[in-house]
Amino acid sequence: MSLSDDELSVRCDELSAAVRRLLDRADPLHERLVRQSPYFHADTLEAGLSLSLGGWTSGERLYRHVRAQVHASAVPPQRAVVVLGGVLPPSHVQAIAYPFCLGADVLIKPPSADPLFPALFAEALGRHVQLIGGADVPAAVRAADAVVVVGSDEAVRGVSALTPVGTPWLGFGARTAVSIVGGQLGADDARRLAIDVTTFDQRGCLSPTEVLVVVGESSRVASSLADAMRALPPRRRTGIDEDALTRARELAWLRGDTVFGPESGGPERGEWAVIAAHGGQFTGTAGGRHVIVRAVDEVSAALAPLRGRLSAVSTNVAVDVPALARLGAARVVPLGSLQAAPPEWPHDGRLPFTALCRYVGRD
Amino acid sequence: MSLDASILALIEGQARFEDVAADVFAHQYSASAAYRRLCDAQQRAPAAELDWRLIPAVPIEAFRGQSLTCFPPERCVATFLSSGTTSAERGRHDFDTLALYRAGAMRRFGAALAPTGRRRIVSLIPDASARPDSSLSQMVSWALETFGTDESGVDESGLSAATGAPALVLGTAFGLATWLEQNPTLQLPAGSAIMETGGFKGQRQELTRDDLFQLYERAGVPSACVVGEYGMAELSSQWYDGVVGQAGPPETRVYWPAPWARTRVVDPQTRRDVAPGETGLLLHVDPVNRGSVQAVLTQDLGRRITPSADVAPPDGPPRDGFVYVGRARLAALKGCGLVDEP
Repeated sequence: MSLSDDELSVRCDELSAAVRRLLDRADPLHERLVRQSPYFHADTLEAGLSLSLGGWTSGERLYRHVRAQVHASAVPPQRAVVVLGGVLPPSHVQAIAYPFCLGADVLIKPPSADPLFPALFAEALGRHVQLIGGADVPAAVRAADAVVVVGSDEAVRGVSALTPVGTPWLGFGARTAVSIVGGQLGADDARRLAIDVTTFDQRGCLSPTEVLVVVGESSRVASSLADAMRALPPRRRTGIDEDALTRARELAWLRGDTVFGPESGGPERGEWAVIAAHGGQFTGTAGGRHVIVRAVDEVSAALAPLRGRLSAVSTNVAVDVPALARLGAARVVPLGSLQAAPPEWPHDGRLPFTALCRYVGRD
Repeated sequence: MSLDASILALIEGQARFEDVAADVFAHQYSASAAYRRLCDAQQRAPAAELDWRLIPAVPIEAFRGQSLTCFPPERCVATFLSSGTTSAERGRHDFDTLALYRAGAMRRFGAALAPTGRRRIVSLIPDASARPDSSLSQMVSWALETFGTDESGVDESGLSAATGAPALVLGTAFGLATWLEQNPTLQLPAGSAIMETGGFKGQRQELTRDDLFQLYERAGVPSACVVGEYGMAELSSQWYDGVVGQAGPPETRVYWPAPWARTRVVDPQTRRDVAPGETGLLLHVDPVNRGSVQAVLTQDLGRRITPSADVAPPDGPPRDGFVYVGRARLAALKGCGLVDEP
């Protein structure tokens, strides 16, 4: 049974309407989300939602994209399971949207760390979705004709092991982004780069944990970025590995790297940090608004440890897009745009709507 | 008195830990540019009456790819490399003298494992001639030389321990488990003992402490004669969880620092000491580490044990110990599944 235009249109409208509810400051669902989120400061959450989900608010846009991606003869899933990890709202929206827009009834397993957002989104969607518990996942996955997982590599492998071979499948594991800039960073570019780094407190796969400086010194760029980050509201520390961040700063001091951060030695210490490093290869950070600015001679060599794990790149210089794609990048965008992944984004280099359908040859 | 002389005096119980730790801090702050940068960033400098708990600690991973020495490279006489259990790059610890290391290691080894003097020692662990970059192998060599009888030596098969005089068998948990599983009928002579160190380091399926002790019991070594040793290439001193022949049941074991060292158990998020009985990261202060950094924050988790009428270190002043819990799960590359699993 293929997916009719009408069915697809209805589902896309329902999905986008649910997203609009979560962005609407007058909607009780939005208020509950902002008030109850344990992980994000209200300002951070509002800004992140607006930036990351703005492209998902048009049912018409969503319909045109899915229709173009999914051939009329494709057989969409009827029953899908979505297993969610992490605390990032846009990743949850995307994971649910892929099977939902295709017309499936969707069973959603919320992350144990933060069931809030998936529950609110399911409430906004209203029908065709149901929340399930962890104990229900194995049986649900065996019975499903599409499975989507968002989480750590370990979690993705775990659900993959439960899924019958041949079931249309999407698994989104651990990834990170980077930004690539020239040696001079003006105030506007610094502000845009700060948006890339700090949206959702750097918790997601589209958050850069390193900024590579091609042609120039890292300290100057780091200083400009630090000035832009200094003006931001505080972050919540829940769910962030503060020990890893403290170690990152300590190792930087030991190496002789310049560490920009809050001047105060009080509670603000550790709130954020920009570490100006020199040469070497990508190491990344544990997030929490900690970013390494690294001057490099050759981008591909510097990013070699990230092979296959690179999600996206933001940049204000010319870059070798094919080389970045071979490292895993599925988006190469201007500074400030990293977190604004649209529905058309080939998530982790795949066509997600296409991947969840089956195709039958009729000779 | 020179700094090394005062550290030796500390090892011999003739100096105060607080005084020597303060002197070592002053020396390391002055002699190591890297360490001084860390201290300055944390606004900590040597000062009279500085509480030893405020001495800045270096993350253990700093020993990888970073020089932390307090002496010129040309004075290096020995280098130990860590086993690299979770990283391809091994930690490196340089020494300009092994005299302090040996003094502390043998004093502690003797107190825990050879309190009555020389005895037969059979080591499953290679000695320093086979593994010159292993601090554990160096300790084996010293132990054989200092406390071993003529019937002592390295025997990686361990089979010689089953015949002749009762032996103190030195081994890693991995090596001991493999040895005894491959020789299920092996019986050690009455009076034999075991020093167990390290873990399984991902080389095979892990056994619990109870499982290991059952293996030892089956081989004829009761739990009272099994002593656990905790140490690492990045430190000079060792921690033991009992005295051979008197060690308590496995579930009561506490690793106590040597009288000249200290251990803090700190909250990973705040770096403040956890409450007694709570679990946190192990931070060791070892003044014998004079040539590098004395305060090291490890990636190990332990439960803080404060001395009481029921549980106390076997010797020396009151000081905290710990029950080893395991390795901390460190933040790695993250994606959208940053917090928790589904």
